[in-house]
Amino acid sequence: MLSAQKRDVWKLILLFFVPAMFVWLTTMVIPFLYGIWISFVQWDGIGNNYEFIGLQNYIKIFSNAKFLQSLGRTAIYTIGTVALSNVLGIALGLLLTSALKGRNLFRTAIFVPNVIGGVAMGYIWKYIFNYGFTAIGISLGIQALSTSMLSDPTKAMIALIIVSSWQLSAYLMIIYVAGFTNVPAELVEAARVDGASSWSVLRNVRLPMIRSSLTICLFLAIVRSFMVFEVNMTLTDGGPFNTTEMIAFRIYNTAFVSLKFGNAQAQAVVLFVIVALISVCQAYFTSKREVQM
Amino acid sequence: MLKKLAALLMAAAMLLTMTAAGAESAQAPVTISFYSTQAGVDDETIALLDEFMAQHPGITVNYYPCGDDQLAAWLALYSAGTAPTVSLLDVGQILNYSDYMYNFNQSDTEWMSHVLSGWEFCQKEGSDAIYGIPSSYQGFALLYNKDLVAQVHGEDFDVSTVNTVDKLVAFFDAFEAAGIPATVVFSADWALGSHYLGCQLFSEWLGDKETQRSILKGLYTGETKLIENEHFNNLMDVFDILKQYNINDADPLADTQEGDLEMLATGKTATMFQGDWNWLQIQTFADRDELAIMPLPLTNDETDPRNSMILGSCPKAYCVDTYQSTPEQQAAGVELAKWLALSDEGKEFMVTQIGSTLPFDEVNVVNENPLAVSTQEYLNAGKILDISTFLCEAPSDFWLIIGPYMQAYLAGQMDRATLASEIEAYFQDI
Repeated sequence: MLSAQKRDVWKLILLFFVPAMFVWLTTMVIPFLYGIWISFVQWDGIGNNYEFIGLQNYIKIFSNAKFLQSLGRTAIYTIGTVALSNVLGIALGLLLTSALKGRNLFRTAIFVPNVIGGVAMGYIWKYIFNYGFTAIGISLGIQALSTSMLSDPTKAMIALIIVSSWQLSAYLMIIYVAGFTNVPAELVEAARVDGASSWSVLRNVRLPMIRSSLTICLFLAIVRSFMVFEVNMTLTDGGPFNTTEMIAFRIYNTAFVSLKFGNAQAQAVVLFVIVALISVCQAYFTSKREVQM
Repeated sequence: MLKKLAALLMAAAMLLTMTAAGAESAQAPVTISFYSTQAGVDDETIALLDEFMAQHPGITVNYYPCGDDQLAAWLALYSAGTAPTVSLLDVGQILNYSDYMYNFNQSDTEWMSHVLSGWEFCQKEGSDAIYGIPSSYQGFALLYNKDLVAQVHGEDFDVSTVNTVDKLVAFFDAFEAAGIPATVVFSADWALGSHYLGCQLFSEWLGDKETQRSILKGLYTGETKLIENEHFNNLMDVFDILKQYNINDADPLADTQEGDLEMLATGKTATMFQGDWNWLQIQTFADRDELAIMPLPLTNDETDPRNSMILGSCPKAYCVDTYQSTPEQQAAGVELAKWLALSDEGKEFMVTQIGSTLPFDEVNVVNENPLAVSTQEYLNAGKILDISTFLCEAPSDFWLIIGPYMQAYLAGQMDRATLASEIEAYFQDI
């Protein structure tokens, strides 16, 4: 016979834990396990005729140079986007926590790119790169701008990083603004009284105090960059000649154009493992250096 | 006597019950669903389905519009156990999933005689089963601006006289001499990989159906050497000409479909290799009579009738699910598919809303799409090159893998021999 106290605990478990667990299991765990199962079979996407083929899908993807190239360029894109979006996010965060007139208006205006969907944003920027910048380049006689960045493999990758960072930094800015706002004013004041320059205050006081924001922002940026899809599809469509096809876009194409669902799922599992490993390592090492108040 | 009367009454009661049951089953309401990959006309499609339901009181149709991910959304419906009873899909997809599709070529087939063309796009090699009803017909080749042709070549110029490659070059040269770029090459991977290369490569240009299949199968076995194939070289020779006269030659990959079509429609360039489906975008900046389609000659033999033909296909078809639909739903689905394709209301919808050419008899609706009218003229004259081998039998990701190689070729980053070997390698890798 349960005591009244234990019964109350069980009621609470039933009320809060079970529904959440049910949702988590049905929307996250079961699809995830099903996805892993699909990576070991050959399947047409509709029926129940799963043909178990063991590790064949994994062997195939690792012997495919294009998969490895796609992983490599996703890593390059991620490094570029994580670095640029965080530098921009910190700069914007600093600017918008300073005594700037109309800073609330600027915060809203700068956040707008993050509200625009990736698909719309990709198309808008495609027109800017293909017609806007080239028109400026041609009219001003600037050779570097007179051809579209999107038609050159290296420049197209840079364009992708610029557009993604432009959008992501707006989101990260909000987290950095919260971080900078929480830095105790007396610490900054004390450093200034001790004769620290603005750069020294930033480097030795303010940045160390926002390490928890940095941990979150790096995590978000890494995950988002590895999973990039919409901007990749609409801005470059993997081009020119497949030199900007990121791994998530490749997975989508393998599944829904090539109709190789098992192969696509094997790629997705590999991507999951990579992102999980990097994210956990990053969160562990950056959180170790956080300043506890 | 009493027994006889009782037996008579019982028999009458049974008869009444059975009749009632029979009547009930004949009118048993059935709910089905329709998934359409025809984007942008959802309200009009719903109105069309309302009309169908008004004419078929026992059938309720739920509409599933497609999103950006047409096939992904369709597969998701199957995964959810809510497969659409009737789907309007690309014919290649229907054939990929033919194991789950209704075969129209059974029982009553009289109605099929009203479909004049396109059944071959819904059939698999070696089978007489037909897995879809063609919904429309589309033609493609060289779109041209009529005003510019009249201005440069004269009012009476007949584009059908451009029936050799040399004449095509002369045709283009005249535009260049007048200061008008002769053509624009749309550089999207699907346009280059599928429309220009795939559709033309595995087409009647190769010969009859068996020859087309042998070339395609030879790529799987490694027997076909494209660089030695005369048709492949003709195709690429003409592509070189298009490259040479391309208005975007300085930066060939920095274009968009809308931008290219606008240049054609507004007279900044004279021609563009694309199809009649583009009218939906073009009509915002072109008058009805400004554009038409002309053949793209690939050889210098003016007696070769193929130089006077355009490419044509039935790209989409209505199919009926047999995997998750009950026999009653399948029967209602077949009724809906037939009605959508062949009823006056269905034909009017495809012509007025989509601007399609229809491969059916008794089409009494005036088509406002001049490019579709052009296609219809070629279709009526039998001047259409069959591309069903590519659409129905080539791998579904041909354009995805080969399109980027074509882009590299267009940008001068790849030579023809490498292109040919990459195509061969792709088939070996499948």
